Amino acid sequence: MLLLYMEPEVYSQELVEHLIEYATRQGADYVAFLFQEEDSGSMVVENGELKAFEEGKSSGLGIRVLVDGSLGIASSTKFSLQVLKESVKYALRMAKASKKGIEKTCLSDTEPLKTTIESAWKKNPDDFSDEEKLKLLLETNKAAQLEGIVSSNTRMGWMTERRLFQSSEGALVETTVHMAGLAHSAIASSGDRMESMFDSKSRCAGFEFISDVDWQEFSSNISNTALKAVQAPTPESGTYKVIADPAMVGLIFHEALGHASEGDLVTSGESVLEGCLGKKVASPLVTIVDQGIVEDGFYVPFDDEGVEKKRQIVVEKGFLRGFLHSRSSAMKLGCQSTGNARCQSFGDKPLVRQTNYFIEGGDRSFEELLEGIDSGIYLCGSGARGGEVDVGRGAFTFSSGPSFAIKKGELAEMIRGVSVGGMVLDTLNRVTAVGKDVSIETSIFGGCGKDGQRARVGHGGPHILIEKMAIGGKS
Amino acid sequence: MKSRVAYLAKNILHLGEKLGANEVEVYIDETRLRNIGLVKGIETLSSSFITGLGVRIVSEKRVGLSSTSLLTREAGEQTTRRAYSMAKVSPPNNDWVSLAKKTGSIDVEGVFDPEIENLEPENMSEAALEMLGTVSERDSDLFVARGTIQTGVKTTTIVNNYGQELERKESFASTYVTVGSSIPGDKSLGNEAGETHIWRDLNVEEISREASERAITAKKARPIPSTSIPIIWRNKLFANVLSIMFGGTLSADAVQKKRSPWGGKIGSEIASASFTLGDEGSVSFGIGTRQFDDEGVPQRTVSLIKDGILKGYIYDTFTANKDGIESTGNASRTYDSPPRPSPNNLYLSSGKMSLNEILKETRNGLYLQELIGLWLSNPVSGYLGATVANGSLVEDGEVTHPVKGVLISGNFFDIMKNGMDMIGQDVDHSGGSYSPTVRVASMSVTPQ
Repeated sequence: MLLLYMEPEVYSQELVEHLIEYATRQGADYVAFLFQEEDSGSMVVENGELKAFEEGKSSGLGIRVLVDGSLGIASSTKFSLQVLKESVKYALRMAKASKKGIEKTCLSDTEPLKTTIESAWKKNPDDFSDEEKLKLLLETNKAAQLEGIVSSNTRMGWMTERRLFQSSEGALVETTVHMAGLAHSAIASSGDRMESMFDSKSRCAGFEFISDVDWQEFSSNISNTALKAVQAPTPESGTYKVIADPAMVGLIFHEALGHASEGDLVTSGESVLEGCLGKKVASPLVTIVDQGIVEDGFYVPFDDEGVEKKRQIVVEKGFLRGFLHSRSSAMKLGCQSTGNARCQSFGDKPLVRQTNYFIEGGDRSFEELLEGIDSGIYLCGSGARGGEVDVGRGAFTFSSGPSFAIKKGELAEMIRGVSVGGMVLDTLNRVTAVGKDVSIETSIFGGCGKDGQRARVGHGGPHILIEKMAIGGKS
Repeated sequence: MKSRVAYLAKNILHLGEKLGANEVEVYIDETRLRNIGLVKGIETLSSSFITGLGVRIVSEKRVGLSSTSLLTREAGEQTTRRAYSMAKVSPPNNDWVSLAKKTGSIDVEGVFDPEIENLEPENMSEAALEMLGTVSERDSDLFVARGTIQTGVKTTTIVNNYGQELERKESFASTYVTVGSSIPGDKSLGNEAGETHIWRDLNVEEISREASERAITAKKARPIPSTSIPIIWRNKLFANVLSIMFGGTLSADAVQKKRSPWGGKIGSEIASASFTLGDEGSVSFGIGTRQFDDEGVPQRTVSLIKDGILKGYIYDTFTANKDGIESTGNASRTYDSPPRPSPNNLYLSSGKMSLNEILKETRNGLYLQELIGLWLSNPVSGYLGATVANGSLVEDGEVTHPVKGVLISGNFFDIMKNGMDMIGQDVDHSGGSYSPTVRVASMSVTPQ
């Protein structure tokens, strides 16, 4: 028998079943429980000194009820029977608080699943002593303290998160994700110029991901890039041929197209893609998918409605084929959930979120993409500060990390201070070649924000060639 | 010691000392939240009770922090033992002097509203109906694309081995709304938000009306050709500029780490004589106003820039000890992270002009209502830029055509020195950042 949680007071599957029955008797048409438990730790070394060492445990339970299409949620970090019963009552009361103005939540049909799944891992973070972790981090930081670097900061993070979804329809889905990662940032100074560079690597894996990688090479590369970048020129503003690297591709299209393909933003009238289903939205070379399990991505085998997250084609050879859906957004458009209902924590309403959103590989090598570019820019995502998108209009602005000029078919000098902007559908239609080298990345340190909730995602793609892009540099 | 939480904290303090710690600090947070989510209509009503406990242990200048969301005796003890073992393994931090010693509480007005504590879900759904009604009454083609009304009460308990047990209670109420228009065409939206400590001060109707007006003008908005013209910043937008430009860089942490452009410039003239910026930690009804900060140090007024001269930075206990001064009461943290200095209420002093006078004095300018990408501005280099999502041309003193899809840019450090040619009297806030309307004499405008 699967026990959900035994500490500090009794909490079990039977208890939840009992509560589901109780809520149903009180008028709930649908009841779902989401239990979440996270163990996490992080350690930060700055300029050779330990700056922070934190560990935390958190757990909580959220209860969702539907009464006549009205969704009530209650949640708590306390687990006594009394508190749980109160929470069920409160969720019901919330659902019944208004008779007027309700936008009904209806759920598309789905098969209730019973399964337990866990991301692969070999080594437990606890198997490494605090001293060992610190030693690795100090060595990583030291390797990056090169001449000209005024500040260097190395952070290590690890976590295990368990989510258990149980519903009145009979679903019982338990997902456990292990994750670890390391981030490094360096600030280089030259005269009165300063430039920072940062990068991180994370993997849904155990602590072997930390112990098996050469982090000293990783951190010293970042410092070297910062040292070059601080000397690098800023390009003239203008329109350029651009090759975007996988990290930049991931960043731009997650933000500028990924969000626009989220079903809840489509049905609320906030997406530039509304009404575009079946239409051509990109160059025929472009195929975009959202997939729950992919190498080096975040691990989302099931969503927070207990639905399996399968591979979903969003754009196929330039045509918009489908949106990402929760059960409720799917119902509004008369289709099936794609397993994209995710919430940051147990008490949140599940939103439609991307999982691993990426452009599929094409047929060109990097050299072939460079060929024939007389003058252009190689846009790199590492060290990028991010960007912002107007999802309704499809307009985006991003800053890139240190990048390179392209001259006569070859990579030339490093450039910095590059920003890029445009309209996403124009940009997708200007893709004239797609590389074969797909690379996906995720991060334990960050996440994507929507409606006040953060979610870990993966994104990426191959190198792509864009015929024309507006670049902001020197004016 | 009255409450169960205070008892739990005291127990941890004893255990920490028994284990051999030199210093122990317990931070406990209990938050009740209620939220209504709207998408076209009322979609979700939710309620949560979230708790957290963080223990900092210091042993021979070595610091460990461990946390848990469970407020039980067992979890508290386990967390304390772990924090102690983490401190033991840490190398000594030579800059460490002590936890906060001068803790205490001041009287503040307008941060706790008992009405919020007793608010029924039905009261909140009435406010949600008001939002829906205001938007559809303005124009039947308008709808609430997304909205939220949230209220909460947060109780924070802080105890360390030096002083009294401190407890503070804050209430808050906030809302934001995104209004869409069902008229075919581009999907321009109108957004507005508000935040307060007092339920009755949350003006859902006014906020919904403003977002509706913007959704209407956004439909007609167009880019304008490249130019350099005066830019009138709506007070809430300029408040965001202040928080981006100074929120991090006037903290002693950034200065000590040499990540601030303001390091070593105290006493220097960094802005025009009309520029006065303070951190008002105890101002009545201030969003960031509290009886004491997250280390238990009383909050107060800190002069940052006075008449253009840089006067000081904001400090928590660690950074203050490092500079040999007292904390300014600016420690900010969550239960699972250590404190760091952060502004309480950044406040830019107002001028004498009304918004109307500023508009009247403008021959050819751009009045900004909504921006995207402002956060990509750079507080180290002073680069200030954003894309206009909703603005209006001002011609011969009158607001004329709506504008969107242009990028504005300039250098904030130059703007501070000689670029702000008109300052309004109308202070408003975005989060804990307060500003009047500001006109910048010239910024470049480029179509996107």
